[in-house]
Amino acid sequence: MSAVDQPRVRRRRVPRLAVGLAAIAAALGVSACGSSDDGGGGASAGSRPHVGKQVAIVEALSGDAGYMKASCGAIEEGRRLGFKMDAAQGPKEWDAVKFAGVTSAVLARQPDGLVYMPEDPKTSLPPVKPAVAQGLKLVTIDATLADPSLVTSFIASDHYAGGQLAAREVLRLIGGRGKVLTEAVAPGHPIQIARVQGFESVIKDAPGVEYLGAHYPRGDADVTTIASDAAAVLRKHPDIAAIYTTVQPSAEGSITALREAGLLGKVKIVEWDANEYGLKELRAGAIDTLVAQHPEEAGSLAVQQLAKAFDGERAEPEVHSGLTLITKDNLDDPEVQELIAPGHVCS
Amino acid sequence: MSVDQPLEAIEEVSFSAPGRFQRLLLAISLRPVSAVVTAFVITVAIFSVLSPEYFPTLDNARTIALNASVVLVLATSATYVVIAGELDVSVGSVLVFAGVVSAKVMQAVGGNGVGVSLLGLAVALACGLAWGALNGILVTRARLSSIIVTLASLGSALGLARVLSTGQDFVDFPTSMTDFGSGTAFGVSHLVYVAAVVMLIGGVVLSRTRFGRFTKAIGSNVQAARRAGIPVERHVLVIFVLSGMSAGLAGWLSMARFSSTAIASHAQDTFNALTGVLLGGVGLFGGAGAMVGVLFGTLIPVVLDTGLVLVGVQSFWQQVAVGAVLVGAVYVDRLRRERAE
Repeated sequence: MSAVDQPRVRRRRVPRLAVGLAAIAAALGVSACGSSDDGGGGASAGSRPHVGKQVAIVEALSGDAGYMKASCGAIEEGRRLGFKMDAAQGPKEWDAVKFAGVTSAVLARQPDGLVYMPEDPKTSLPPVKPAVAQGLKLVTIDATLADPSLVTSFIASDHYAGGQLAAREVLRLIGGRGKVLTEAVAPGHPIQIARVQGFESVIKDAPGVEYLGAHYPRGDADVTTIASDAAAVLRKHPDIAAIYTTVQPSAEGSITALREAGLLGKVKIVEWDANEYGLKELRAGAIDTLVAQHPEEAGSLAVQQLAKAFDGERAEPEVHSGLTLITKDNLDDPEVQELIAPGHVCS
Repeated sequence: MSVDQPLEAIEEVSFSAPGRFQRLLLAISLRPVSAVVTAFVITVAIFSVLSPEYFPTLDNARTIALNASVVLVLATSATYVVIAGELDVSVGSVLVFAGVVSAKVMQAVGGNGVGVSLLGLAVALACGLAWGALNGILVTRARLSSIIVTLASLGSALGLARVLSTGQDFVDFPTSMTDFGSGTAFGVSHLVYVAAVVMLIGGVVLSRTRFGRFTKAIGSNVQAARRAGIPVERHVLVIFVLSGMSAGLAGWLSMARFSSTAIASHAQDTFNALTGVLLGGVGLFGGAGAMVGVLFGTLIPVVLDTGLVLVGVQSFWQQVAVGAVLVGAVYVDRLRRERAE
């Protein structure tokens, strides 16, 4: 989404997290993200207009680790900035109607600001539209709304930059030489497009690399077809050096094909997201590197933008939270441990 | 295995004004099984010529069989459902639901032993049985259309699976189970043996037993079947239960193979199985079909997926190719039916 239609702005991080990230980046010998501007992070909590304003949070799915962390980040940073933070609310299942119900209930308390994690750009729009017209300040995380004029600021990972980061990591892992394949899903999905295009912008220019292209399964994310596709590629190119998988089903299918071809561990894999599957296979040695997003940072960036909006400053229309490469080497670092810890309910 | 029209029928047919191409199609299509086998042989021959180095190898055959195995299990039961004149589009979701519940139970019990894996298998089968029974009861007792009932199950089974798992995949399984899923015997994956046994039983029952004959009788004419004293409601209910149970088995096999419940990744399974059934010459309006046809019908899309990659065709064309073959097969099926009437 970010790389496709909206201008990218320079990222800002919470200083506490930024210190840790810089350390990781240094340890890895890579930059955690394209442009890093770690100047003054959060706004100072003085006698600004935003102090004392009430901010609510709506998650697209209650109990999801990523959303929980984003909420925790928002609540923690919001308190620091002097907001009155409500506990996060969200439906127990992925359901547009239930999501709209929860949103309406939250808005019935008439908060001044809302940290909104939409279920869908279109279906999540009607529940908030009247409130925004009456002055509600809205910041979205992860996805934005079909009508960006309702949104004060949109916080998400820079999936294009993440793709570039993954490509440089692949080059490091394979020593700059060899055949590289991308296994992606859902062609046309903006996040997938950004992850693939970012990767290709770097890998296609690498002189020692024979790039085999991006492969997509029949059906959105059909793991059986991914395995069958990867198996066929491995038959033709048993000397393949690395596979870049843009989402969990791609990794599931590719790793299964590698295991069945007896090539597990011989082919490098860089996968998106530090989810439970990714971490298990990282520890088992099947995956070499995970591209991890920073949901907690996204939460704190969201309330920082809200504070700006209330204080009459210009809020950034789009802000990117950071990314971290996780390997076996930095898995035990405290900063990474914090990043991959299971989510918990903050209140 | 049985074919529904005797071979002699081909000679007896008088062609009204057919071109040579249509006559050839007709000759092939009069025996539905020979149509799909011919298509399979042609597909394999084309890829063997285009990719002689990689395609016609034993290793590749093994990989194709493995990649078809879970779909073959689903296609076996789908054959009965379609022949009986019904549809079950919920199997992909029931598969995920059964997998999630089974994974939850195995995690609660803990341990890596064979006992835990078998318990997980039993739980998966029981979950499939429950959904199948629910579908079957709604179709036979509440007299609702099976496509509507199973469309509802498609959504609710996946929804419940997400509630139970809070949307997070289970990724820790007993090693005895994952060893089985990734293991081989005589060079061939265990999953292929399971699929072969399921399909063999399904084929024999369909062509050699009363159960199979009842299924075909119900599909070709429900009223006639009822007057002939066939317990139609009970029979259809049993078919839906079997369909659910095969989804449960497929769910367990899939977890054993991928070491993950892969909640988001099975939406296509139902349609892969149905594609196999339809390509296999089982008419969408019930009454006829043979398991050999379904076997080859299920293999064709997997062969296309593999072959097109080996030949180096962009992956989007795989979807186009499978779609084209399906339309061709249904067209051949229509020709066959017109002649049969």
